[in-house]
Amino acid sequence: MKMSVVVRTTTKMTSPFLVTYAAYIMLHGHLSPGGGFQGGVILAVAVILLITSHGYRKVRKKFKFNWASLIESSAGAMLVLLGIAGIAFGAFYSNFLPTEGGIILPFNIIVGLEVGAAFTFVFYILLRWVESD
Amino acid sequence: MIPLMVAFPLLFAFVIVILDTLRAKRTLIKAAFLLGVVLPAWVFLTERGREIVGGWNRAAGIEVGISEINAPFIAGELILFTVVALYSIPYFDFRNKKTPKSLALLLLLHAGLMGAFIAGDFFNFYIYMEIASVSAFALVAFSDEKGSKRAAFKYLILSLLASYLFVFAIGIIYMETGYLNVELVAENALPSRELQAALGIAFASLLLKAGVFPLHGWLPDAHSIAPTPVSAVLSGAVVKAPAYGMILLFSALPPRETFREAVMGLAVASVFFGIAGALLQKDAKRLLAYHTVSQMGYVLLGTASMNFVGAAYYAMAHSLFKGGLFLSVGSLGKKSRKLGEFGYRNAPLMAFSVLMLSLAIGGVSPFIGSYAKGIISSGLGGTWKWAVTAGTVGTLVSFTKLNYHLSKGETGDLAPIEKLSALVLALATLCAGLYLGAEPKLSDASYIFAAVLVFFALKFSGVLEREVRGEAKDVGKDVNVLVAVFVTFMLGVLLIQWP
Amino acid sequence: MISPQQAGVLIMLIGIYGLMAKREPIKLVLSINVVSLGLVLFFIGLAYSPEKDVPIMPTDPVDPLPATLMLTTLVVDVAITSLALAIILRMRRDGS
Repeated sequence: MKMSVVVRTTTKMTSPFLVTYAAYIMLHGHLSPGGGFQGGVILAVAVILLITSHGYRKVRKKFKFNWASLIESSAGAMLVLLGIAGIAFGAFYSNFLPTEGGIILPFNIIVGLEVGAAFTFVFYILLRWVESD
Repeated sequence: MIPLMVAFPLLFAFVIVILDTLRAKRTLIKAAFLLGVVLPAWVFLTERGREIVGGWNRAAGIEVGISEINAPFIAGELILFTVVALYSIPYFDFRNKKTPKSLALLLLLHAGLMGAFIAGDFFNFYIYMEIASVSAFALVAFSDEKGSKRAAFKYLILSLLASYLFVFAIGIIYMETGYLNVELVAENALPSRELQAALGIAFASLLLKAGVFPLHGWLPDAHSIAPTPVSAVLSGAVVKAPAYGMILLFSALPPRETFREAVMGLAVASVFFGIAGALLQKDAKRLLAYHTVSQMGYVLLGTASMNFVGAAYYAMAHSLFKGGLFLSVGSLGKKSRKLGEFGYRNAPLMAFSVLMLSLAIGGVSPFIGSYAKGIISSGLGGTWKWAVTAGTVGTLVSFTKLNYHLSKGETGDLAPIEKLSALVLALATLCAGLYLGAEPKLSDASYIFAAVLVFFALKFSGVLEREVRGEAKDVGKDVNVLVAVFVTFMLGVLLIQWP
Repeated sequence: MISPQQAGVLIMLIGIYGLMAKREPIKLVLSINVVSLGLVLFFIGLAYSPEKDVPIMPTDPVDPLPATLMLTTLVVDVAITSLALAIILRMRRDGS
């Protein structure tokens, strides 16, 4: 699945910009269209673009399988703990931060990390069956 | 504090995946699993009433609550799931790398079912039912038997189509009334043709997910091929969530008289079709799966006569005895599942449990089955009561068939946890029946007598030897046929509501 | 012109026809995705009307609830599609 030199160099240079764009969408979720899920998908696309252009095994040495699984499950656990922390202030998932937007901003960031890690992880698993290089 | 019932299993599911990636010891994973299963029971025993998540007001928030209609569903599911969790820890082989993931999936199933049963809002109910269904698809596909992936695929496609049509109906309800909360919809609903159409579409979708007569095609394969503890939870709890959805739907948009009569007729047809299908089976777990089709007919009968408490108690009773039957038949039949090749001749404790559970499912008092059937038939008119009586005799006939074949065979070694789990569920049906006030009645012995006579008559006339052959068609054609049946049924439901 | 709600229902019907007529499993998964697209279009059509305002610091806003509901539905759809593809890969490998 390795592609030519032109494609490989271009994707190497544009991947960091995709990560920046994903972070922008996550952080402005409470003011403009976007939010956690959309930012997370773009974060996953940054890694998947590298996989399709460079080949599966080379990318897997840098972005290890276990890290993706670990980030995904710890982000999921942190989401539930955020809700349980709201109980000390009244109700489950109550809005306890006094800043503008409340707990929506940390919620978006954690959801973005989780979704990005989850899609990368799913793509790794589906590719394990059809890898050919 | 009610949403904590959903939060705890979810948290421990993620904790199990973290522990598995870090290669922790097996005892830690088992401890996390058991904590996640048991903690919601603590919340259930101390909380009642309604609450809005996050402290918002009712028109803007998600409402959850435990009332007298919810409580039997949740109690049945908690008891069944605790026993299944204790059964599944020695059942799954921990040297296999897939096992901690199946434990995490079981916890996700638990969280989804809890969320579906406490929901007071249509969309919230749909989301938690989907979480439970996706975990169920993955757990059915986990088994190593032949045909398990095909069964999981059929179940997946049909259930997903039904979910999309359910969301479509919720969209129409939102367009007409402007609310998604069940109580606010009940207050603001004006009778109009679009709302009747939405009621019909949502009802048909929930009927497919619950596995009632015309739309049951996915159920025998999926429930019989899954591993034993997963079958118990599928038949015992996952088909109850759509039944609770039907109760929510009928309390928000009350249906008209003709529609209700048609649904009651459909329920009675389902009861008898399940019994007839079960009598012709040669595989023990498929027999129990056809019985699920039959018993969901009783729950539908209770719902259609607007007797929601009766339907809830029958659902709780069915969770207990169907779960117990699957666990005991599954552990007796570990080598082969065909009737006549295994049995309980050398295991007296299992024989006792299976006999008690068979009497309970047949509706003999003082087990809980008879209490629940009593509540359902007290809400029905005159002619429908005969259907309940005939269904009782029919169920006892097919369970006589099961016990007859089981009493002739022998089984291998059984671990003590397997004997204990079946016994605990059998005793639970008896104690729950006595606690709720059912007394032993002598007239029920006549049902047992009639059932044994009918069974031997059928056996001598050779009806039961007929082979029902299912050819292994490929999975695409199966899905086409089942979707066509579903679409025809939905057109029928919409046409009944036309005038 | 057709309103978005009618177009959504039409696309859902096309997807259901695909489920009834095709035999390969991957085409069935694609037909389910077409049904989901029609559903999303129907919901977006429910909330939109051309003369209203964006729902941030609103004066007379478009209704934001159906778009949020559809985000959640899309997430469910993606998760189930990836599970279905994994099941299809496993079915082919076990030889059927």
